Amino acid sequence: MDENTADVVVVGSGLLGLSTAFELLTRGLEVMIVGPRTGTHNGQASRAAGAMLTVFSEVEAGHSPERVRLEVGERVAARGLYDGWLAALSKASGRALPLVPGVWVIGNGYGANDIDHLKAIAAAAESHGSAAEFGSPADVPGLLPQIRAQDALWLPAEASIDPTALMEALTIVLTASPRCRWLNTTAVNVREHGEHLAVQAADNAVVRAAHLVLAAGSATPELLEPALAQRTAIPALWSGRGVSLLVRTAMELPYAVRTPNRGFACGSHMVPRGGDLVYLGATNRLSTEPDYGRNATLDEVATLIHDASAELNTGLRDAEIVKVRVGHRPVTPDHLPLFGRTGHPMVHLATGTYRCGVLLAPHAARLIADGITAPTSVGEHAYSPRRQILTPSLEDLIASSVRGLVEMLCQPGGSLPAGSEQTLERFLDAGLREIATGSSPRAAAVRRLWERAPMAECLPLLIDVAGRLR
Amino acid sequence: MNPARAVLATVTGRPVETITADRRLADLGLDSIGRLTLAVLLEEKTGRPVPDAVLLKVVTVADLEKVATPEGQPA
Repeated sequence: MDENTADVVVVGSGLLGLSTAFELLTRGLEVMIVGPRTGTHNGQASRAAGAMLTVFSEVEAGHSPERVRLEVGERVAARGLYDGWLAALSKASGRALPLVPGVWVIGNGYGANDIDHLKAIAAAAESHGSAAEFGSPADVPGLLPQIRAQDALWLPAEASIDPTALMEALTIVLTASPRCRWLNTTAVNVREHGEHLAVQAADNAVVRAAHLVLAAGSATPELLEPALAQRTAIPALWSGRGVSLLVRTAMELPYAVRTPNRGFACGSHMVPRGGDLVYLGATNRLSTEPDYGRNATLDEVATLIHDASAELNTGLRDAEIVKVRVGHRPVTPDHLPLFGRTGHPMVHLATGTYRCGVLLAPHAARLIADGITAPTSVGEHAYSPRRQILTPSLEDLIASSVRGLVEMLCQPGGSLPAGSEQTLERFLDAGLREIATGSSPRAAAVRRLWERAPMAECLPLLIDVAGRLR
Repeated sequence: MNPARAVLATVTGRPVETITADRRLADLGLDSIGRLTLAVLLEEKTGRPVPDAVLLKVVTVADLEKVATPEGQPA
């Protein structure tokens, strides 16, 4: 191929970008990737991920039945592809990609409604004919917490994998392919150029293709030149900044163990990474202006260490820190991914996967490739970037999310005396409503921040901004 | 008088005399929420909007003073 043109340019070298490139190559296309191949990959969600294939365990008791049906349906479809996809990738790369089957979900007194979450997770699994077995926390290998676990749910259809191994295998396959060229740099600008789409890289190289796949996470929208931004009409994307740890420990951990989601985060989890390595995750903080180069803060690491030793295994206090990673999970206002064609028929998105990117990667790659190789075969998918995204009103969000806000404020490890949680919930509810409808600079700041990111995860930022204006 | 430095002093909690024109807002310890409160307070003081698009381009104290100055008037 001409050195600067290809059938498809993929912008972004995270798991979604690489998986899409891999799929496009298997369909016989010439692919160019623009994104860092070497380096620290600071801020990249793929390498910081726990990479549990959470088909059911991301379900929360408060999610609407429609949302559960849609999201779990898509995750089941992704999980169905996974073993075959891994086998193909393993064969092509010559790398072993072992999947550790099964995930334990535990409930304890930390989350006010853990048992409701566990029941909702079990119901979601059962509605798809998948096993969900309640057991005793005493039977969960590796679980030795300070906070006694009350319930445990075994999900044999879930699994975990090392995302670094996945990234390495994809890198081997893509760099070896004669139909793939990988520019080891960062894209800075994307625009239309005649019949092509042109991507300019940080090193001033310009590459062109008939189709463009944008897989640059929450940085995706800012790459587009104004005219193209208008035509593609990409929905808002923010970052759920997360910190994770890789530790060395003598504990035996055959399967991943996690709590349900709580306080706008994905709870605590420990995931076996082979040998004596265990992954600990993860924090989640909404960033409307993500700083991808910023390292983990002491507060983020302290929260992780505290929750892991209090909720999972007290022995983790003696574990040796091997690596601290920061990842920016791309998230949309309705929390659903963005897969496929945008308002521009040649521009496609592969992002917005939030906490489920590793699970969804092979499914996303197929959907996006279908939109390129067989555009008429693809109907309107629920994850289409052209869908209508409805944002909740601030009042509705306050009503439904103030409990999560109190949970978050009590982290790490804090708890309020009996009864005062409800008092604080009611006060925060009343106070936030009062401020949001007021006319003070404080009210203006709260509304302005809310307009930037109208989603539940914004609530902690709202009380922050309200308190800063005195 | 240009209100930019006084507002910056309020938001950052630093003495106003330490806020010089060439300093970068990031070096004054302003995060994204700090910048947002800055914009809101500046709007209140000047009565003119400071939209996010304008705010994003502000790097130094001098940039902020330009934003806080009515068109055609010296800072």
